[in-house]
Amino acid sequence: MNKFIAISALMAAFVSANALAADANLTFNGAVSTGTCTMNAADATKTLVIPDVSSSSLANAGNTAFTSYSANSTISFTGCPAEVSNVVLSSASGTGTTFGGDTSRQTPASGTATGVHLVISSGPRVVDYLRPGVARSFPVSPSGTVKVPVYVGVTADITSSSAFAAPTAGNYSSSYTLTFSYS
Amino acid sequence: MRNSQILKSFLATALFSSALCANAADDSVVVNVSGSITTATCTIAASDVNKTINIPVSLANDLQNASKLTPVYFSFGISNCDSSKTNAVATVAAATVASDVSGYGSNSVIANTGSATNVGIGLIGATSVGATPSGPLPVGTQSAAATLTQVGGLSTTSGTLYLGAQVVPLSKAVSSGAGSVTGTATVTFTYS
Repeated sequence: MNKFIAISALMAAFVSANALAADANLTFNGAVSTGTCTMNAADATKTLVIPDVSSSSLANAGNTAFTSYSANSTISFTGCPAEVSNVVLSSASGTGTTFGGDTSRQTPASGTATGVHLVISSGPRVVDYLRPGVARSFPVSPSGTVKVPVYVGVTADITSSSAFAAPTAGNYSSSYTLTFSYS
Repeated sequence: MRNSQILKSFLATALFSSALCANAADDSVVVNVSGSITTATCTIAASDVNKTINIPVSLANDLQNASKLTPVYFSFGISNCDSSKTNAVATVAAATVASDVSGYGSNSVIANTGSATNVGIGLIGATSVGATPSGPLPVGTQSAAATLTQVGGLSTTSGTLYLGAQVVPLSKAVSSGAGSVTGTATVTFTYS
């Protein structure tokens, strides 16, 4: 009886030593498809016009200006094959200049207004801001379609942690290129 | 002096006879002891010990002739190494199949357990294991080395090793069939 116990204890020690032999475990998921989703051709170019706003209103709205002074649209995908479960907005690059160290904000590429910057996002909230290196996934519906929301908004330039300077009046414009992939 | 020697001899006899008694009355017990002395090792970041890697959807047309492969990169945080360790290499183990894609070969790619046909999961990291790893890495072959350095005055070394994974055709000339691609593997690190 005692001998049996000694042997089984040794076996257990060997089993656990074996299980520890690998340092990491990997699980891979992918898919092969004969096609991807079809992007609605009419959505390939979008023109979004942000409503006019006074200089003082924009400054007073501070960081939340984006939720009020914005325009939005959707980009539609249809005919997604069963293997495609997500349409991924993998990058959004703008023609403007990165504002300070905040890669989610850009000074508009052209226009006469100064002291404003633009943000692009996949929703109406600040947390939806798009910035380089951040991908967003949009699940494909059972019918094989996806609508990706796109918002653009304007805010006054931040002068300190909480202060916003009043912009000078004028027009502004910029362009963004969105790139999608499938997963 | 002499008295004490006699006393010792008495005690020894008494102990010996009691041991004999025990032996006669019961089973004997064998205690086997085993163990191993290991070389100093490193710590893999807890979040990297069990990783799920999502590879982008591959188009059958792109896989044919391996004309366009879409790798995804993943990393392992390595820390707490003995300061004598300045390099880390990874070796992946998995159920394998052969692929005729350049850089792979027999028993070189992870077998697909999903429904897609004529595909496997090929690893990357034979030439470089930096943020954008490169070089087809056959399963079972050591990766390139990641550098481990002492950071912030610590007495230990640390670093990051990146690998890549991509869906590859098993036979380039053959069209791959649509479906899921899944597989599992284990990684062992060696330090020097």
